Amino acid sequence: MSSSTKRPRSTTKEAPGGNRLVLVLVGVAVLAFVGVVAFLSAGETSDLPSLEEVAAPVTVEGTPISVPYPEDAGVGDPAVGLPSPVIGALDYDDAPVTIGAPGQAQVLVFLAHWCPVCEQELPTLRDVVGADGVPDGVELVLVTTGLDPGRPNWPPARWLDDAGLGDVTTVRDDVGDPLMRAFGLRAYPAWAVIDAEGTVVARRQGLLPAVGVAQLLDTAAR
Amino acid sequence: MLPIVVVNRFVGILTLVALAVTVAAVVALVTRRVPYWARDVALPLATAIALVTTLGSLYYSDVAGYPPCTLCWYQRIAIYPQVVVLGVAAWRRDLQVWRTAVPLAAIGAVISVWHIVIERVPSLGGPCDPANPCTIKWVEEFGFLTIPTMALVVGLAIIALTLLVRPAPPVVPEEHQERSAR
Repeated sequence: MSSSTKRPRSTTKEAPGGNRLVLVLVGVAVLAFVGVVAFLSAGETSDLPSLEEVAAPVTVEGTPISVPYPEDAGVGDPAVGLPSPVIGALDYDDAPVTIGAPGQAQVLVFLAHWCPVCEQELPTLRDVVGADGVPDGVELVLVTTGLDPGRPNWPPARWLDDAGLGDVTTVRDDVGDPLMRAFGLRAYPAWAVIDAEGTVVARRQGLLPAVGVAQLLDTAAR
Repeated sequence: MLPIVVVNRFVGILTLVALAVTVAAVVALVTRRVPYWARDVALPLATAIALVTTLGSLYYSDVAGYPPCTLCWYQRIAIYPQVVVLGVAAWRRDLQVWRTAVPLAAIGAVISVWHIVIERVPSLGGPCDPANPCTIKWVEEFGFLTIPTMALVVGLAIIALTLLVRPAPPVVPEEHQERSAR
């Protein structure tokens, strides 16, 4: 009988205990080495403003809009036609800004610094405003909301500066988003358009294309 | 407490090491030239990768305060049990562990890919849920290593390493081959 069977090389040989110890020691050494490299190569943490330094008090007069933005975009927004609450807030220079008062049409853009969809919206907003400008009689107001120092792109003012939006009024929401919630909005980014009579004429939630941004600016101008 | 930037860099470098190991293991599998020592090291290494990943994810959620999103939880489900599955297999030298580890890791890897996609194209995930959207990039080391990217590398490493120790199929004696050919 001439069987030429080849047996596979055994892979079940028990490793001596010493081998396991060596493996553990090598593993620990690698982790320690990587730790040292990480410590030496990681960037410095700079002093960043606290939540209390970035958030600002918000006063709401009138009736806040309680109806949420409809989940189904095809359904009419029941908030359209309601009077806007009149809101007092502060910009990043601590100057007072009034929102929703009759006499000034406004487009409010609610942006959370950590929200990737908001980050995706910024170049669109910059391009639309850069190309066509804001219509006469309309004020574009960015509202930094959803404040959380533990999340990316803190502080929001620097994040917006880096976006290159130019000289746009930027207002600080307070902790808990009272300004955004006064318009019944719950997700980022969000938009509210108020005409010159102080009436809410449009709201949006989520990413808008350039044409959608331009339409909202035109809606405010009418 | 260690600055988060140091921890991010630490896990980033470890992920690059795991990526290099994965590439080496895939090359060995494709060329069918698996060094004997690699078979000895593969399962302990896979266990170490699963363990460090588990500890890292717990650090991010419980120490750094990054709340895990829904997709993160699904990926955790695919990785956490691997510590025990691979650990026991490494100790007992169970070369068949790939039958358990690979499906688990593959499910996690598929979820990681989807998570990476919505990180890159956030609008696919809809507007940001204030509570905890899956689109937030809590970590982005070396410009591309986000948390789901790291999870994907870990899943691929576990798949490659457990396949590396898979026993070769039994060799059929030549006389049996001749009989079946007739």
